[in-house]
Amino acid sequence: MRQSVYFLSLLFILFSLSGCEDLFEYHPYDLRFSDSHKNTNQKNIDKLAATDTTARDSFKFAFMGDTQRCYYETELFVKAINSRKDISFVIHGGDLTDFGMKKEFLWMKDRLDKLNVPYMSLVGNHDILGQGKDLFQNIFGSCNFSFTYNRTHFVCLNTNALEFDYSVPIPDFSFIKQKAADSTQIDQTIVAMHVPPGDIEFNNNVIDVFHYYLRQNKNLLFCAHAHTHNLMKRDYFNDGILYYGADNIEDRNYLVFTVYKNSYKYEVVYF
Amino acid sequence: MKWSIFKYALIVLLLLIIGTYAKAERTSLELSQERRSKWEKLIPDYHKLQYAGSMGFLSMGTGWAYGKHNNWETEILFGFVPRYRTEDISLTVTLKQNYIPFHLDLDKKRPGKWVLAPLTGSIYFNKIFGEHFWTELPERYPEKYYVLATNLRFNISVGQSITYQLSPNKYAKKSISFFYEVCTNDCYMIEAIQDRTIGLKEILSLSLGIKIDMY
Repeated sequence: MRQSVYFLSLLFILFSLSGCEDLFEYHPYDLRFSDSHKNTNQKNIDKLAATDTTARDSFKFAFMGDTQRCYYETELFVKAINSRKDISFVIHGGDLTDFGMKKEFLWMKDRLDKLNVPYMSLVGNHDILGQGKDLFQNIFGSCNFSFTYNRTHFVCLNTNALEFDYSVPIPDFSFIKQKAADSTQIDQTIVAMHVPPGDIEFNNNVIDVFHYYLRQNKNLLFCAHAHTHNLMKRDYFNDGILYYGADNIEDRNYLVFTVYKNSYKYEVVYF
Repeated sequence: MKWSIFKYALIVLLLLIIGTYAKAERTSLELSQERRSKWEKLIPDYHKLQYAGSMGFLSMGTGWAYGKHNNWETEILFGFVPRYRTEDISLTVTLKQNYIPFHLDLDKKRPGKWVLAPLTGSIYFNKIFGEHFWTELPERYPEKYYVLATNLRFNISVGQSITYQLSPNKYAKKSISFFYEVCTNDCYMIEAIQDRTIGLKEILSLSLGIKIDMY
């Protein structure tokens, strides 16, 4: 009896271990991972730039977010995007993870890496938990970043002010100002963020200043955000600049924006 | 992490280790047959060095064995996570409860020489220290903004161990054990239960260790 218990338990343990991806774990928040996982955003921006060779009248990009703990739905999303040929790239609106743990970042990255088109991810408030900010910065890159596609400037901002107890400039006005000043190669601007203005996570003390600074960008078309786990469309400052909120991926839909010169269209796509 | 807290913890650990040597000394002087005083029971029975296990790169600690056949063990371990793309190392502390349901004598001719624990089960709390971590939600957040403490993980593990008795005699029972454990934690279990694409092999990890029994 005892012998069989011994053999069964040994078999079970060895069986469970065969194929473990990270055999020895030092801590859920450690930053021990292969260098190949680094700078994901910049790698994708470079890939996108390589496809941005000829000027076109319009292009489409997908916007989604809040994929935390929904790996299955994220896989379905990746399949849905890969099955259509009209999307140029994907922007993830943040909250890749729920606890900001290394495994979560890498599990999510593994799935998003299967996209046939480049993808860039913003930082969400959950991604900052624990050692999450360091993990995000190492795996994806800067919390504020920008890129250009078809003469349209995309400014991606960290708006998770509450996570830093307002001790760090979030939103970072000097970054926004610097991006707004550099407008020779672009016709228009689209801004993406995780947390929308007015949310408790946002630094609402500077809400008007924030929008003022965004308006300094050349020909601002609209803003996109995630975080609310609901589809949203608001003219927050009554000036015609709309803030579009993406649903969480668990609800199986994403936004597609078609961008023309000086105008755009949007639609919600279910999968 | 405040060094001062860790410093005090290390001093306590050191005292406990010195204490076990004192106890081993006394037992070898045939004092073990006397009824051990209640105070003496507070002196730890063993020391442990463990690699990985989601509680640091290396953890060192000490513990107490009790129960009819020493089936139960309670231990405290101090560990560290080295610098990986961060400025500082992180320190951790672990409180661990082990259960060893049975022991198997491997060498029938020399009982107690080689003993196998075919199954060990543990639960442990691991706390990591660092400026980014908290146990209670900081005041800046609305109530229940985040539910789980970022610095405190609840882990479970199963494993096996083999013990070799170094100098068997009537009074002192010094032995060395080698063990391994397969562990996971509360957050990973939530992920695996909630998502169909995350399975056991994604959430399990292995750890190895050495235990030295002083009594």
